[in-house]
Amino acid sequence: MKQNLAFPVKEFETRIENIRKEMDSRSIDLLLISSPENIYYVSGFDSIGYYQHQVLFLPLADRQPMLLVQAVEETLVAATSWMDNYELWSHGSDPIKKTIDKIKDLAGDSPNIGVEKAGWWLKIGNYEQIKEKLPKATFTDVSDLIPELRIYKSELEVEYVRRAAEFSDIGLEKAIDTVQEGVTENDVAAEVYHALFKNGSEYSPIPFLISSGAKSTSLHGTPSDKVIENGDVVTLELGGVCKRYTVNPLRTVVIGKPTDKIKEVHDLLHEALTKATKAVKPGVPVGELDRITRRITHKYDSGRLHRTGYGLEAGYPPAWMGNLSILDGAPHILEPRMVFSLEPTIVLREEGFGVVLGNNILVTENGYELLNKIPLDLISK
Amino acid sequence: MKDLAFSEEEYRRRFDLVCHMAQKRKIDYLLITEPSHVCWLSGFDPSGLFYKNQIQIDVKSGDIAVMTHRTEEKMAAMNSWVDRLLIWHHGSDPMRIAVDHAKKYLAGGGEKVVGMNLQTPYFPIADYYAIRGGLGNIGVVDVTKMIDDARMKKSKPELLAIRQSAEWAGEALKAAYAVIKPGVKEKDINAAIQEKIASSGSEYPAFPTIVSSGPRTGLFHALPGERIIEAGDPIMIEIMGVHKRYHTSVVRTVFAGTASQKARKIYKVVLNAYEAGLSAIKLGNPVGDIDKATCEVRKDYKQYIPARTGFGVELGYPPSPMGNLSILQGEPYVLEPGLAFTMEPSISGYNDWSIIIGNCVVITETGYDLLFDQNVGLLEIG
Repeated sequence: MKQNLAFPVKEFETRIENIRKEMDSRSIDLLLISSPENIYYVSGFDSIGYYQHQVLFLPLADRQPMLLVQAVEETLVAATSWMDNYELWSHGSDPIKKTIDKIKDLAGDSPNIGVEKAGWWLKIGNYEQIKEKLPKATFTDVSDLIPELRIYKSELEVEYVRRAAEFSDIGLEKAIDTVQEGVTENDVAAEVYHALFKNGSEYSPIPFLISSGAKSTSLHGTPSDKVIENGDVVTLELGGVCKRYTVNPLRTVVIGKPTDKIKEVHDLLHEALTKATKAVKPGVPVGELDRITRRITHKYDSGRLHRTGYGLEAGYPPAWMGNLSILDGAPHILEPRMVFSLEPTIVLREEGFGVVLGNNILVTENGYELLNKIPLDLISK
Repeated sequence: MKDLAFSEEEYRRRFDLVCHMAQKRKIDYLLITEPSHVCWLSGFDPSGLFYKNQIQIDVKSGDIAVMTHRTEEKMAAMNSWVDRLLIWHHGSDPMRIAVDHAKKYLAGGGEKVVGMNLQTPYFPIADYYAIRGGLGNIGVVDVTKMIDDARMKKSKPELLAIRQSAEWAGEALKAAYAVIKPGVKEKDINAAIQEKIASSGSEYPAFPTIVSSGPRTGLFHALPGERIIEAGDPIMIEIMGVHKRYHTSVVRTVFAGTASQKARKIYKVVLNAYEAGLSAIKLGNPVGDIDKATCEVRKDYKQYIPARTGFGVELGYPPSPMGNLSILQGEPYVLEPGLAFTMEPSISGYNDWSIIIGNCVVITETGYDLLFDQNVGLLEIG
């Protein structure tokens, strides 16, 4: 019963065709796909059970792909993926032995196997076992193969991204409404969660960041029972999620009158984000966007703790980022159907505050589409 | 300024225990990347789990360092007791930094043995080989199980955190019950759960909340969706409470309106399995006895038993809060005071539904405590 297939089968077939072309050009006989994002991209299989060993075997065109998952996932394979060719392992059995047997079955004793060596999900201990049992096989790193294809979104993916953006704006608006003197960060989180889930947003690959006062300097601070006080800078980052595609806007709220320093920092980020956004069009190197924001914020260079942004992809915890890195020196050139965040931030630890500001952007044929609609102004309450 | 989840004394206890275990195994150095191990030993609790965080410990001298990205530097300084931080940034090579630090302790004196996490997702194959290549002639042993075993029996402060997380999850379950009725959507129930659990102070869970209804319960790991609850539907709910990253899980199946006779029959079997599991909890007995007891009751539905009877609950991060403890026949562990685990027998796929009843168990000196409502009889709501 294919009740929850996120994409038409034809779209999966096109993806597989493109992957196989890449496999062919790299002389790969068999892909061992272990990351849940890439398994989702190829098959549609969508489960929270990826803490257990799972592999999608993608051989060359003469053989069918096959999915190996823990027994509890059987009904979800049937419901969310197009794949009828799957096998199960049960607690008490050895899924690694089954993986080795399946490799031999699909590609013989000495294949060139593509493995996601920079990924998290094929554990090193299991990989070593597989290598030991297949001494004639070659293991080639293909960590970039599927993520590079995923950078370019299809029409339906763009639809999901836009829906995720709507969710994220609903959540962010609720956060901005709720933040005020006397409430706790947890109170804000509760309202945001309620609004997002009530509207149908899915669980987020990264926890929401709601940090007030000195905590705003930690950048990745999650909500706590801290009471928001007059004078606090409150940083907000949250993800709206549709069909695992996430959009993550960031805004900053000040309780009371912002100091001149806070205003100066926010003004710089506003200018940096606006100018970088306006520079988005096909043909521009991604590094140029990073350089634009850094030229504007150079006075506070030591407070710029991370890159200007990154690609947003269908994701599972612990990350929603893709291969695209909005960083000086990164290799990509902007092309239509890329989706990424622009989120320059400045943290002034000695001043006791951090300021964040960010939107998600879709590259179009002639320029860009701004996915988040909430104004960029510093919010004072 | 330090803001530690537990006392430095508690962290020292854990640190000393692991160093002692490492020494017994002739391990010279530890390079730990599994985030639950990093947090358990150091207190470092990052939300940026993707930042190649690790701790390194020279077993002999007791020197310890935390490595993380520049974004998490303040967090590491604040919530870990460790003062020595190794910081990388975009554009630098974190594995180079890790290798350079380790080399200071591993140079000279013959081949050294380094303990690493070889059974964690948080150590990519490429990073492992970069470190092995950088360190040259070393022996490597997997210490994932060793550290999981070390943290299996909980201290008093850990049990307090676990009990707090259970209180929050229990309140969220009640919030779910308050909105269940025919006509509401699964996502409405989830919204009530998330609002309650976030306002209580529960942290982000390693495992998202499950709410499914009617035939969607048969999907087992199904997340809340748009489906409208119909009269007579079973509703499967699994909620994790989290405090100081310690998780507990409560899982229940309730009915909207009146349950059918078919559903009652299966519920009764699962309830009997649950009670048989509780009866099998005896200090000193193998954990597998619990699984054996629940499976025996469900033997007529053997092909519909989807999973082991339960798992250890731990300090954890996505995608799993589970520890080494597996409530499964054949497992090597015996029931001892300080163990904490779920007991959640189920039947899944029969009549297209799943029926599951679960609780969290803490083994005490005299028996056991249940952390969630013990009234698990069939509940019809709305």
